[in-house]
Amino acid sequence: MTNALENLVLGFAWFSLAYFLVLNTTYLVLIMLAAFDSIDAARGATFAGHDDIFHSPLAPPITIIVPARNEAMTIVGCVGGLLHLRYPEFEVVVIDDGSDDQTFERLRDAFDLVEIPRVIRDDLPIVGLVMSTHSPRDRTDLLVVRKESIGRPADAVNLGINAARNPLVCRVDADSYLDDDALLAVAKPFVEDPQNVVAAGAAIRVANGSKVYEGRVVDAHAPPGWLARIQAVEYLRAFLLGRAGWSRLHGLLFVSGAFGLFRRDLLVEIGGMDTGSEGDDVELVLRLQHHLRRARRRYRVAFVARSCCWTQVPSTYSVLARQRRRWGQILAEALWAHRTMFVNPRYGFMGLVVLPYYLVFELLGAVVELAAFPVFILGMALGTVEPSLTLLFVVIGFGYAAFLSIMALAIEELAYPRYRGWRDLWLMFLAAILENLGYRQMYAWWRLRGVARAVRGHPAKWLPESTATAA
Amino acid sequence: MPFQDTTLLVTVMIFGAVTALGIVLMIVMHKVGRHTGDRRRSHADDAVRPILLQVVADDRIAPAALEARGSRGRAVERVALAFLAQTRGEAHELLAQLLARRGFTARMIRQASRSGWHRRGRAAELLGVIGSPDAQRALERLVLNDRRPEVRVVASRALGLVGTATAASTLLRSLDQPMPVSTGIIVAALLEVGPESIPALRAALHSRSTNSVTQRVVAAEALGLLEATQAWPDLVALISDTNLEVRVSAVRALGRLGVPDAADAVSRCLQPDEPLAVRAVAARSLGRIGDPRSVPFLASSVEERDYWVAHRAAEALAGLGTAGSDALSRLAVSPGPASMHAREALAYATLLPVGYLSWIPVVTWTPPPSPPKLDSKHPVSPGKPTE
Repeated sequence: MTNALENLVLGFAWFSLAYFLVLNTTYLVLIMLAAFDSIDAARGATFAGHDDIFHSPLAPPITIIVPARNEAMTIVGCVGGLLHLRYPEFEVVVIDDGSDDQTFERLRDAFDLVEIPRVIRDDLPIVGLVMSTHSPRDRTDLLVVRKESIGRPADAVNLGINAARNPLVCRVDADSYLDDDALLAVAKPFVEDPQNVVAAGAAIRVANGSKVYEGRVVDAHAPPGWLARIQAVEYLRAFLLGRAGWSRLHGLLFVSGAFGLFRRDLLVEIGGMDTGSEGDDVELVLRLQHHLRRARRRYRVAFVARSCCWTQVPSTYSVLARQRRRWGQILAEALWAHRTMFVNPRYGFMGLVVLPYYLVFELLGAVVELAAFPVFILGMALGTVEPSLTLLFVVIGFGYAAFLSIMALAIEELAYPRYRGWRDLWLMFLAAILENLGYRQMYAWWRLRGVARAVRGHPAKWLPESTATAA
Repeated sequence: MPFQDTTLLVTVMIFGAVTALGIVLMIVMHKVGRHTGDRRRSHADDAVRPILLQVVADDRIAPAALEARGSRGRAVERVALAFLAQTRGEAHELLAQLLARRGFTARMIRQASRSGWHRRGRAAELLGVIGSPDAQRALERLVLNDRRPEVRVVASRALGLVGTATAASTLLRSLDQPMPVSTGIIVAALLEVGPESIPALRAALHSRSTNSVTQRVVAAEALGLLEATQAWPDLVALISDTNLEVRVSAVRALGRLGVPDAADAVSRCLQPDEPLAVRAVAARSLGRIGDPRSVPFLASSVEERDYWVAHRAAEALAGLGTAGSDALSRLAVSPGPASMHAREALAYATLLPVGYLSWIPVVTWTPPPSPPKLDSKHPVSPGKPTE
């Protein structure tokens, strides 16, 4: 019996080593690919021609959808910032999803809203009743729609898609801030390849601690507090460079919920966001790709690292835990809903590599992340695992991961520098190392709980604080 | 199976730590280098700016600008390019001449045929700013032959900046290439060319080349945006084209021209047997033309079940003075979906609170059926279908 336990422990130890080696090497490959992408982007920055799009009368018009529930604190700054973005033609549609606070009143006072009987199409089914529609007296391209809440943002986003009058739609969270030319950058793939590009995502960065003026991040700083700082490094590695790497391989599975641009006609074609499940953009983008690949239509999901959206991340453990549980649940539900794509040659690289990667490393990998360390300690106690093997595990599991985060910081600093101060840089380096000491394990635990909630069919809800962003 | 090879482990650890340290040092050096480089360039530019201002003011190339070498020479070229982008006429020619005599233009032309795509792209951008005949020839080669789409995009934009009739013809010809750049970029470049491009555009309306549909679409859009009123008979003729996209572009262009003589032809596009895309664009164009004789046609279009036809027609009526407003007021009290569009258009036109319209009885509105699904085998560009 003891012998069997020893073999089991040793076997799992070697399996964990192999797992972390493959996981981190995959990330290394993605970061290297993102580095090539960054070099290309940096070299081409001088002739990217964003100003030409700004002056072009043929730039595709965009509707920015802002679903908002109890966002009285941030909504006016957010909408004000959006209305001043640099883009030739766009409208902002705010969906007030049954807010109990002063969200609507603040908008009404700030933008001098009057009630207008706007005709909203019924391209997508809406569950919550539309109560009223409002526009500013000075004809600013802003529409505020008040609706009853059903407790799910998907319904609000679908209503925004119905209300949108432009061929491209972009969802932005009420607690997010866009760079001045974020729309110009994210619309560029649609201008240059209008036949194939169906969606485009942007880099998501952490706004905590940065100076925000009139809805713009004007002075970026490393966030205060280690929890937010670690998330800032994580966002850089996973949501900036990881996605840029996947995009280079034409395997970008998700576009961030905080800021993504889509073709409206295709969103209508696939039935919009799923209000029956937890939904969210993760499921939406996966369903869009599933639909297009099944129909054997050519398409491209682009990622624009230069375009940037700043978002507030949770600064307390309890809120972070809720957010990450939600992410775990969303991912599990989305992968389950599209299980027919797995290891299916019909879906090409997406079905054969990307989806299995997400299942093994992003979802089920949480088990290995959590169990590995106790197993090594147990192995050492039983005498079956050599201290040198444990050290190797620490090097591969944690050292390698910290090295990757430092590489991500380096690429970010070389290609898209945002932090001007030396202090910010040092703090971010320290956060890259500290991320592996406790944070990753906690995230694995929350992810597992999210998967468990998905298995139980537990409904997830709007997060009341500004934390609902699915990055 | 214990892990015994501690030497390998230590080597891996040392290698990792050294590499990480190397990366940190690289970042530090890059950050410092960027700051000092920016400062140095800024100082050098400040030093040569008066010399170039003098070139522009005196209409004469100063020897100091011509003979500067090294970092000072690079500063002269940087500042000259910045001035070039902001000047026209003699000053522009003088600065272009300065760059040509310094050998900068020849260097860029050589760079335009180098292997790295970013070098060719950068060269294309700068050649567009210089805009000399030599630069134009190099750009035409890039627009028509470069293998990288990114370079063809930059070269197309740059060729637009050159602004000659030949540039316009080349841009239109580039649409015949196997993988042309997107039509939006070519139209934007043609708009940069300006009125010089109008003869080539009018000729392209009758094009029967390989990619003639795209050429006709681009030509119609550009003529409309250039407000080339002399082209309205050609565009009216294009309304009966066999291709739907061409027809939509022609009707849209006629709206942008705003020639009242075209109103009858555009009004005919509102007939119920016309495709919905054509009708929606025609309604908007009639609003832009602003001929009150269109009111009856537009009023009947507001009753159309298609959202865009009804919406654009109501919007157009709101801009047609008293006759349009009267028609909208009548529609606002009528039963059916037209009343919703009419009420919205009236409300937006006056921007009165909805309460002011409370005398209008509330009507039940049955939403129109969902639009037909796209053909799954032929993805359709989002374009501007709503106009």
